[in-house]
Amino acid sequence: MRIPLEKAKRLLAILWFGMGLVLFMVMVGQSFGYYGDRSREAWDWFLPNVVPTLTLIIGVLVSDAQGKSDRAGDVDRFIFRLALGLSAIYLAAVALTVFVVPFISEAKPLQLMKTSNTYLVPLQGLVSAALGAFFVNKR
Amino acid sequence: MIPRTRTVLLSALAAALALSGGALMAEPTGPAYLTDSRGKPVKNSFNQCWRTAYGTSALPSQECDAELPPRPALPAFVDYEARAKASRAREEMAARRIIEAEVAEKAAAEARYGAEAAAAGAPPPAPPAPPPSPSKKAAKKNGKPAAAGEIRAFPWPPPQASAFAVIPTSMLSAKAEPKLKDVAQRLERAFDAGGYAERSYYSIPGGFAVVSRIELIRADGAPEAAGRWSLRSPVLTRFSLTEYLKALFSAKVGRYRIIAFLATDASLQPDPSKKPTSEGAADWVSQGSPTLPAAIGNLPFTQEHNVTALIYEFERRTPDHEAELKQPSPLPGKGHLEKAGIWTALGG
Repeated sequence: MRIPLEKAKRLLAILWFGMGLVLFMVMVGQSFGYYGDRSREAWDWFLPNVVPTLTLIIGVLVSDAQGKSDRAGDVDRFIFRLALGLSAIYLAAVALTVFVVPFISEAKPLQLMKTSNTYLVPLQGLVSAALGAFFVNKR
Repeated sequence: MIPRTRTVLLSALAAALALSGGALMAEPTGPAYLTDSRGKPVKNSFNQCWRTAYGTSALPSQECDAELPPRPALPAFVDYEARAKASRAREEMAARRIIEAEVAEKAAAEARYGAEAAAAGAPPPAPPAPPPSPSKKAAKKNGKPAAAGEIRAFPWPPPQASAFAVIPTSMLSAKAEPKLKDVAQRLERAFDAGGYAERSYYSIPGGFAVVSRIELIRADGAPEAAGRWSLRSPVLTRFSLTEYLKALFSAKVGRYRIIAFLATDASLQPDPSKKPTSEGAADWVSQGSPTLPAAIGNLPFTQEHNVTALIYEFERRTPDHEAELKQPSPLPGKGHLEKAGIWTALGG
């Protein structure tokens, strides 16, 4: 089973930009006092976890818009679902690091962010590989 | 022909094995130095003898080894157990000297106070307790109990506080000749009224200090209703979107307080260089004595005595920051005591 490439790219872009925007707004809101004078550490955690993949997606979309890549075609549905599922899991893990703090009594947000890198870094690698395979695998 | 040859070969092989086996089992021996046909050691141009492969095991030659240094003597046997015992004995002796010095200093101070009190017409203080044994085992063996009336000393001069308040003497005791234990009882009742069930006593020059447990307070100085005695940040127990968003975007500032009453006739000048940490101050309640010993309690509360409340307020800006001492506190000392419910209990 295959699905149109254009549709697959849009769905992935919606997922990444949607969650990315929500997280970005929360980080901006928290920058005014939530981390005290250490808000830069929070941004140092957030940006590398989201921006590289967004840059990849934007690059492909811009390339499509300029007609430099073949927009026609379709991709394997399994590959698309794999990329979508991994992206959803990864973004959920990033969001959880931020949204779970009010429920944990001993939680130190910046410490939690540092600890989350243990599982986010390998997960990001898988996501990037899946997205790369997704964009390459087309008829 | 063939079987005979074979037999001869096998016999020769067996003989060779036997000889070599014997040679292998025995230690290699031979002359230590190369000798000529006359039996004299062969020397090089530096007049040094040529050693053979057996040089290490064979006996040294008088002619060749005269210049060798003598074999070093084996190190003497080291009795590590004896060394450890001696070290422990030295440490015990040093500890005993320190304790005796402290007791002598305290006794001198008591004697000085007694002389002054006698001159003023007051009864002399109780004699100092005997020095404690540095070893608990030795004390048990001798049947002597631990020295009575000795409690830990509060840091002196005390660390600089966030706020302070001097308690009027009229609020402390109605007796004609009060003692320190009367003042302590009054303070304990005031602590109870404020909900401070845990407090600890320390000795200070001329009196005592009693400190409360560290508590979580609100911005106005009133004790926090929920989680008052917990140093953990409060969490959402019931989900409310407003509360959740508030918790997500605004750091919960943690404010903590310790109240310490110091009853003394000595000059009270806090040390500005001493700044307690919240962790260290939180341990004050667990490191002191829960009761005031009679040796201190029976001392008279004279006109020279004053009771001062030192308020130590700490603030943690975000969960990732350490709680720091607030100097000065936004609330005066009397304000803290009023919010804590202590001032009213004392009769203020």
